[in-house]
Amino acid sequence: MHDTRPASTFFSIGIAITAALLVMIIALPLLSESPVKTLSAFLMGPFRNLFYFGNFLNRVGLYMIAGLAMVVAFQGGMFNLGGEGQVYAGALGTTMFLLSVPELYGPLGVTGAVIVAACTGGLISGLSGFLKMKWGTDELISSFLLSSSLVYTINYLVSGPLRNSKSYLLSTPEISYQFRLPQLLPPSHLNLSLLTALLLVGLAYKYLFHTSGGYELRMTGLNREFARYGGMPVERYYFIPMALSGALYGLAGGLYVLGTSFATLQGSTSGMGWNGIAIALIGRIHPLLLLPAAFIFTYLDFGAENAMIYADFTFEFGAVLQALVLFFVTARFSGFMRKKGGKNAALDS
Amino acid sequence: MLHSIVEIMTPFLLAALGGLFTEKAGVLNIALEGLMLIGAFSAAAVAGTGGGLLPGTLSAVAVSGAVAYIYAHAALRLKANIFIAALAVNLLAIGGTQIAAHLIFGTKGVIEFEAFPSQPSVSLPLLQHIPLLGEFFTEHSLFVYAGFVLVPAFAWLLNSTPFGMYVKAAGLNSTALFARGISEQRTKVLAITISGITCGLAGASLAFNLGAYVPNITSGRGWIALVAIFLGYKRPYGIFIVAFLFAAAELIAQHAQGIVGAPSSLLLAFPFFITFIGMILFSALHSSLFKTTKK
Repeated sequence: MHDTRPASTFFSIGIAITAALLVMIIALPLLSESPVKTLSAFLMGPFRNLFYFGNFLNRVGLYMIAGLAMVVAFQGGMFNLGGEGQVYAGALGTTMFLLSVPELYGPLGVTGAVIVAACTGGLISGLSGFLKMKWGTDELISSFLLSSSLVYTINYLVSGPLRNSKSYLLSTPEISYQFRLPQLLPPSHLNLSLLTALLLVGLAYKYLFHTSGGYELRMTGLNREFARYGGMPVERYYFIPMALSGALYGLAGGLYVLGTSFATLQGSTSGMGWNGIAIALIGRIHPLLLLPAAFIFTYLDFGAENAMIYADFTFEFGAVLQALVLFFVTARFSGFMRKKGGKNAALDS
Repeated sequence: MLHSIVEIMTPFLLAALGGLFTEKAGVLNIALEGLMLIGAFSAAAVAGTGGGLLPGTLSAVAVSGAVAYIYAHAALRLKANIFIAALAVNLLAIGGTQIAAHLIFGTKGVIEFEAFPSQPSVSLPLLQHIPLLGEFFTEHSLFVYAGFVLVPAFAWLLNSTPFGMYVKAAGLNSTALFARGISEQRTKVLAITISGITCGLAGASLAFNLGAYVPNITSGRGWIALVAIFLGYKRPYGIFIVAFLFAAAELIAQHAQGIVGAPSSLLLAFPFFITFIGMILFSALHSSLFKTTKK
């Protein structure tokens, strides 16, 4: 689904980013008592010192995986709206697995945790794909409903039965030291998960564009009927993109625990699911364009969060930023439309 | 019992009835949740600050309708993806109401108003004495009756008027619409705007029932309304029945919480979960009855 007019595409995405940036620049100082400080915190957020820069890069990596999750779903013509719950469940799955085996050999535990995270997310999202395949249940709605019920359930678990009674935070106990990913730039949170993200992007690119399975996935996403005429097993491509997408979301949550938070905190991964959608769209649902897209979006997100420190109150800046980017990116984003008649997202450009 | 169910079902019913128009026009409107939230905030803000109930309701309708109109235009005119635009509406509703609450009331938490006008509760003279069904018509807010009236009204509008035909044609066969010289785009924009208006009503009914504004007051009701459209076979009377069943389930859950002592934080997950299960059962039943594998 390469756009035939790349220049105009990038132009429109440039407009989208600029528009979002401008709105933030105008809105943030209005909401704060010291506009200049707020503005500089917003623009210079990641670059103030190495600590901030490390945290920024760490977030880029995690968001990249979330974006990749949506790239795979969109490429397969599926709409996974359950990222929030899948990330959260992946994080909790990882935490609970590692808490149950506190004495395990480090690398073995991490490998197991990564598998648990991917399977948790993959099963949740895969269920929506399976239901679509089997009974035509709309995956967009079912993935959202399941994810929302999971988010509230996990909120309850983390603040109740699974809560670390020694901590004043609403959080599970922390995982053992041997499971924590090597830190790359202490004291910042930058860790091995950034490199994992890059590896995953490479793998996804390879799979989507250089394997027959990836070809089938993309063709089914482009036009399911055409793919069927071509003799492709289109039925399974309701399930595969959704399962892969959920697995990646789950991984993002798992890696967040392994490298950054070391426990599941209530609401700590909130926003990652929606951010994934925004980043995938900025990146024109292409794995390689995801690299700059994740940088750009994280810059805005990170800066806005920093600016909040100087505003006299904190609000859901994440939701506002996501909305702005989605609005502006989508305004010219004629790349893909979910065709109602075909009941599936067809990518055409 | 019946009385409470009728009160609980009203926001679902109102939002779903408007959503039915967009569904018929071939647009899955996932922005119901956000539109409802915006409506609830507008209604509470106007009514709570001395505006009165009617201006509060009108402002909810106006603001939600306007947002729906803008989002429909942005999506259809600029050929953007309608789902992404709707998602943006939902996210903006969360952040936007918070910012507005802070700017106007200086808080982003619960807004309690000093003198929130109380709703008149109305009983219908003769109907309230019907055995069993009387509670449908006894001491309800006007929103409840608005829902009752809109069910047959929308059924008539959809099935017996040219406008209803155009809406359905926009979803089924836009070429036919084009042949009649009717703009498919305008029809869809109109349908989405109608859903914005009823979501405004739904939001207002939520806010007035509470007499206050609570962040995320809608808590997923828009999504449940969306599912109710499908489960109600995309018919106003079907939606009425489904909304009633959902409300009954919610009431039972509330009672169960009292008996079992289930934590209230866990209870937030319940409506989503029950809707998810309902949706699966429905589609399983539907596809086995009709042997049509939706492709």
